[in-house]
Amino acid sequence: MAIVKMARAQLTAFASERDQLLRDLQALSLVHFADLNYNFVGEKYEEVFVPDEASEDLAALRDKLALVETAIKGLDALEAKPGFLAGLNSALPEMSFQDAESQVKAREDELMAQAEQIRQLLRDQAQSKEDEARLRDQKQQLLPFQNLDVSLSELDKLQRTRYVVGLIPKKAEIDLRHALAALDHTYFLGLSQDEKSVYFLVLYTEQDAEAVGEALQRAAFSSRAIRPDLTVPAILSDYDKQIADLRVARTEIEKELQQQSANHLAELKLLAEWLRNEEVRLEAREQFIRSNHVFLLELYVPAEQLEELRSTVDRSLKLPYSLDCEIVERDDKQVEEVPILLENNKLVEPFENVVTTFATPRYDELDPSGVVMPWYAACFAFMLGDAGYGLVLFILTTLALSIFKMKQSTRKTLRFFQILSVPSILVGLIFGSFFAVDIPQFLPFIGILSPTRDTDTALTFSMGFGVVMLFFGLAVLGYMKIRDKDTLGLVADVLSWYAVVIGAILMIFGQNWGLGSGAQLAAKIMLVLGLILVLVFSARDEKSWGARLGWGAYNVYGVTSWIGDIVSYARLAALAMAGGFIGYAVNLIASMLGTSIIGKVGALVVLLIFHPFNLFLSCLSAYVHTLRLIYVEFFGKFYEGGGKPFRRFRAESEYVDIK
Amino acid sequence: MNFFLENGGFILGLLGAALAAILPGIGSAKGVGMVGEAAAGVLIDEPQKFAKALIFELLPGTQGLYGFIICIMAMGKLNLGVELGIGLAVLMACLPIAFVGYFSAVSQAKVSLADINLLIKNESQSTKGIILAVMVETYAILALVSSIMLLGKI
Repeated sequence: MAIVKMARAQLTAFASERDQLLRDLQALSLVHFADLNYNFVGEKYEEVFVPDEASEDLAALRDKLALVETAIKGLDALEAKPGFLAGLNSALPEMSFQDAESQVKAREDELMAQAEQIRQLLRDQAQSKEDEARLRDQKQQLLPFQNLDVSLSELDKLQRTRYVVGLIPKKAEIDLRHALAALDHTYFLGLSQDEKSVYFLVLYTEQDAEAVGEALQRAAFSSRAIRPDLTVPAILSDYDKQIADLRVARTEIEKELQQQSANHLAELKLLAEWLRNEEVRLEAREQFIRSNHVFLLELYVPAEQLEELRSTVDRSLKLPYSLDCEIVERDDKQVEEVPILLENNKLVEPFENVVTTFATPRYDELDPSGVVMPWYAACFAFMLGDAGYGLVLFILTTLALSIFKMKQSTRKTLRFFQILSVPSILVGLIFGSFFAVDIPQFLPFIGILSPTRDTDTALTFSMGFGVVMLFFGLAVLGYMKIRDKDTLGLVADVLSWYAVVIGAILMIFGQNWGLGSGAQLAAKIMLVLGLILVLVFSARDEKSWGARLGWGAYNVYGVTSWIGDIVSYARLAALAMAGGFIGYAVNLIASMLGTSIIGKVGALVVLLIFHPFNLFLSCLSAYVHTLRLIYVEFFGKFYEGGGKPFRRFRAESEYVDIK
Repeated sequence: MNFFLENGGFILGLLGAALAAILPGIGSAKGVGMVGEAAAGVLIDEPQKFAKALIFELLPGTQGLYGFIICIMAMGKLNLGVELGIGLAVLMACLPIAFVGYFSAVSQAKVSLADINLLIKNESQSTKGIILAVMVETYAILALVSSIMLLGKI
């Protein structure tokens, strides 16, 4: 459990060498820039120094990046999606910083040209799809008229006969036909019909034009414009030909894209990754300040890397420069500004997320990950409380970790649950529960505490467990007070609460435990003494005695929060029972299905569906309720947080992991 | 009257067990349903958030399970011909989880619903949203523990 010790460096150098220096610092990766614009610019510098800015360069770079990303997205969409199992191999390819740089530098211009070309191809592809959709739509509209095997220009040649082509709603057909039949020289040629409309051609003579027009209007007629020079079947086959041509052209485009993808996708991804790192470099500049000739920056590196930083800077800068370095101690003046990097062993590392999700520790606190790990595991195991479920969890996570190459964050999550599965098996043995079936007592400790059979003991035990865990949290606070040589704090904030809580517990339960009257009196004195300490000293930073005692009294009221915290631990037993009883119910239902073959198969199905379901729900409950116990009850006793997380001088890897 | 004296204990006990299953069950169904609707909306554009959306959907689902547990435990106390007083006591013991289960499921669903919003706008903070929703569940757990302890007295 450790917060990595940091070193702070202030550098002044010539502006002409800035970009080379930034590149070399990025190779180091573990560099965090402080924002000098807030820290540094005092009145006396204001006239000389201005914030460095890179907005123009950034805009140009982002345009480039957008082009490359468009090309990558388009090409990626062509690739076949990996199956579920193959998709689990989500680890990114790795490459060293120097290799990435040399590869990108040699190919950048050509790749940018390729990206431009790919973007054009993608646009052509989209355009072609759009054209095809339009043609299909037009064809669809013409299809009902395909029985019209004469071109309209032929009909135009008729001397005294006129014609209309179009459609009316179906329900108007009879009326229209009657109206037309009443006229002498009209001819109604039905072409086709569907659910809603009737499509037709009407021929009529000039003198009937008005009557026909009226009849059509009554029937809600809408006409269709049809290309006059060809018959409808010919027009349709012309559409088909155009569509086929489009498709052939598009296949060409797609082939070309496929080609591009095979040749350049990997390189483009590397380029995008590199450009994103360049973007980070430019963004960093906005935290510097500069004059016309020099620039100033302040940065943090892990103290171990300080020598490396010095030699890197020395190698990078040919002109004179000034570099001031110091190791940052816990009592530093700017302690809130120090970025926090956590470093833990393999067992504790997956639990760092639990801590940072709540809050990154401050530089003058300690990293609680190491404390959280055993307690988180114990609470989780208590709530899951089944050896069978623990075993399944262990096997699944272990298999997944050994078979698949997954990206780092996924691996961390799996490691997390793998670590949790081991104590779950142990607790399951203590509870004597294996898939909610009683385990025969082949070891002396098996089944000594069963939350489903002995609910009261389990509840009492879980709250007792809570007291121990909270006392441990308080002890961590005590450790920090001793470390910081704050004796008054130790007495007033730590020992006082031990006295209050132990005193109160002894007073309440002392009689049941058969304590003598002397011991009971001692408990009473402890309680009162503790409360007085809290009343007088807990708010010792207040200036006036009135405020001090007022806040002190408020803190005395904090006794009630201890009661709440301890009762809250009843959830440990309650969730163990919940999981246990549901598992028991599953077994009960399966056993009721009888001993015939069908019954046995049915029982197997029930077990195979509902036990995994219960496992999933129990894990979910255990996960979230443990988080709550850690964040609200446990951290409430000793941990505040509020530090800044360390930002590596790199972009978050998306396609390639640049080492 | 005689019928009631003979069977009343069993019937009242069953009523308690049934209430313990019914009310939290309704509350959880309502809650999971509410959050599920919103969660489906998240998946339209961001199917990769399914796992987290599912967690939020399931949070108000546990009350139904707590009620179910009390139902099973209450059944263990009952058989035909159980005394009237015992049956009535079982009914009373079932009440904490029956009522608190229902209302806490609905309230928790409201927090989860707000968390779905959080999931859409700022996924990195959604773990904190889980904690907020779990706060509500504390009272369902306390009610569960109360019901278990009350049943233990019978």
